[in-house]
Amino acid sequence: MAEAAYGVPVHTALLSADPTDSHTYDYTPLPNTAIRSGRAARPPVSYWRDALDRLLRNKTAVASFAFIILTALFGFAGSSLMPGFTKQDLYNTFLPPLSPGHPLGTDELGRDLLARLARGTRISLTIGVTVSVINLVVGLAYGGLSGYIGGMADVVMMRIVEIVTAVPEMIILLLLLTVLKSGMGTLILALCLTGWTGMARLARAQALQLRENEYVLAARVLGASRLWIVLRHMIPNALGPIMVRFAMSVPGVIFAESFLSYIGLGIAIPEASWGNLAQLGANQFPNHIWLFFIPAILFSLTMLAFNLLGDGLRDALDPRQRR
Amino acid sequence: MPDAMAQPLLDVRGLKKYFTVGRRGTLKAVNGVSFSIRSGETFGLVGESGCGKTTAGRVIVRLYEPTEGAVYYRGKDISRLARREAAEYTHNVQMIFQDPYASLDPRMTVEAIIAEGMRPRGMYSRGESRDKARELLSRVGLSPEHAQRFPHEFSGGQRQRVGVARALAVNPELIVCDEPVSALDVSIQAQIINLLRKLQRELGLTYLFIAHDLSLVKYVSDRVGVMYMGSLVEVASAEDLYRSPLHPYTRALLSAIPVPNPIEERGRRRVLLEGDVPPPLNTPDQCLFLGRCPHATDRCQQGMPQLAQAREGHWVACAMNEELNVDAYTI
Repeated sequence: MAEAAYGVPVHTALLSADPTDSHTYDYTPLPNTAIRSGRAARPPVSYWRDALDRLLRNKTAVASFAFIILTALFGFAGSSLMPGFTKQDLYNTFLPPLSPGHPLGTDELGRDLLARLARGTRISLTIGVTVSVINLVVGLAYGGLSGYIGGMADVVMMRIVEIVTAVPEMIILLLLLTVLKSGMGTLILALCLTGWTGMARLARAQALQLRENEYVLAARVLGASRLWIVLRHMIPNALGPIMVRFAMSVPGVIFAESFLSYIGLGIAIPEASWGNLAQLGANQFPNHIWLFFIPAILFSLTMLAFNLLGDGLRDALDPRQRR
Repeated sequence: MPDAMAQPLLDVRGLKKYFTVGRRGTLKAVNGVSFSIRSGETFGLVGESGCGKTTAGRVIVRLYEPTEGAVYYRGKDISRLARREAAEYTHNVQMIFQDPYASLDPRMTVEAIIAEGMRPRGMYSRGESRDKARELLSRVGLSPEHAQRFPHEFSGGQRQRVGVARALAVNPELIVCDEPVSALDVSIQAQIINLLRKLQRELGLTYLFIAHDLSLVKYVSDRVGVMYMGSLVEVASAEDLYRSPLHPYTRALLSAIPVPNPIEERGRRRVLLEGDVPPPLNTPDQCLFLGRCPHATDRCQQGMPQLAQAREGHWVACAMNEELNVDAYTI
């Protein structure tokens, strides 16, 4: 091949020297036996179907999910069946577990622990799930919008998030709970006011990252509408981390509720929650340990189950995990 | 560039695209670029990273709005299209992306990825678009049985074939290939390049081929434009450009390509550039190559030179072009 002073070396082995002579260099598809023999063609499955299959194959996640369902059933059905969670019986205080009529024993006022535990489960789960759902919706809308619009709107919206985050959460919570009358509604409001920022930040980060992704650009070049891009590309791809965050936020909220109830600011006795059950139990700690350990164990197992389910969801929503 | 012969398919005139960086900085990513592409040809756009070639490509597929200047497609300004014409334009002009790992949605099957562009068109039923996607898979050298696979089950080269199929799905006339092979192994690069050439022959496609690999660009292009810091510094036919480059920057670039023959390589004259690419923000009004140019004179401080025809079909933006033109023949 002739080369001028600034001549161009051509990868002669790879590229044909004469462009018109390219038929000899044509890439004709090979039988591709290596790929074909690896796995037979699968029946068509949608992405969501595939994710569900993966989730169901994950035993830990399925067990966690089953545990959460059972706990919820216990809380909701149980508290309906056993309405007497405030009923006192001063002749039968501190009955140990497995006593006749009181499978989990009674507390210092003779209230049935099983009934109180069911009621407490109901209250704690309701708060945990409600606050997490509200935070999810608010955070997704706020963060997603902020990241997707970008520019000045993004700057202003994120500064607001920073201001909310900068004030210590406990101060906002304590202030609200002392000003408003205590109860489940106030607690939910207080936990939402401080809790949405995490999800907003995550949603913004996802939106920013996905917006500039090449497959989103490709969809735009193909003439896809904004709605299509958000629904078909951005949400499915953001969903993994968001679901994980959601699943993990439920135990976080329950923990915050329990903590506040424990220090006497959340759910007030005689109403029951995991937090104030544990508080009452702790007061009787050395002598009547079941009053502390029974609610604490149920609480811990539920937290664990939510976290494991979150992990399972993350794996299931990632097609790269497919075996 | 005016083309007397026929109306070019794509005509880029005085295109500028500025980005605001931080408070006051302006990044002139593309700063007054003009070129045209004739139907059926491959126009190569080369330059180092950050020279604005990708930005230019993205303006052409309407991902960015031009700051100034315009792009004409079959004589129509693409930023002033009616809604219907704009939809038509997205089907006439498509893009192949650089990174085959990032450009396919990991959560969509290959079939859904390829069918994506057919959907808003409403021309095909679900079944028809499925058949078309399978047909495209075999056209780009993949098996139709792969239709239900997800992108991560493919190699880089196979993924890029999917990217090509996605662009072809809407029957485009012009495809902007934005560094379509620079993320691939050299042996795979050749396969993809040959696939693109085969498709060009079969379907009569026109390519704007953006790349930084000069030998590759020579191989694929009919004409080549060399970009430096947002400006086109030289445009010529591939053969002419590589045989007798005029702009000092092009000369330096071409002399940097190693020659596979070691004896020839040893005896070769090299043009080494001094210094670095100057900072791209708020650039001064002079030839931007000034600081690194071995031929620089006082004339070079009077604004960025415009492209001028030095020979038939060979354009160069250099104040010293007449002197260099003579020089080129004496080498």
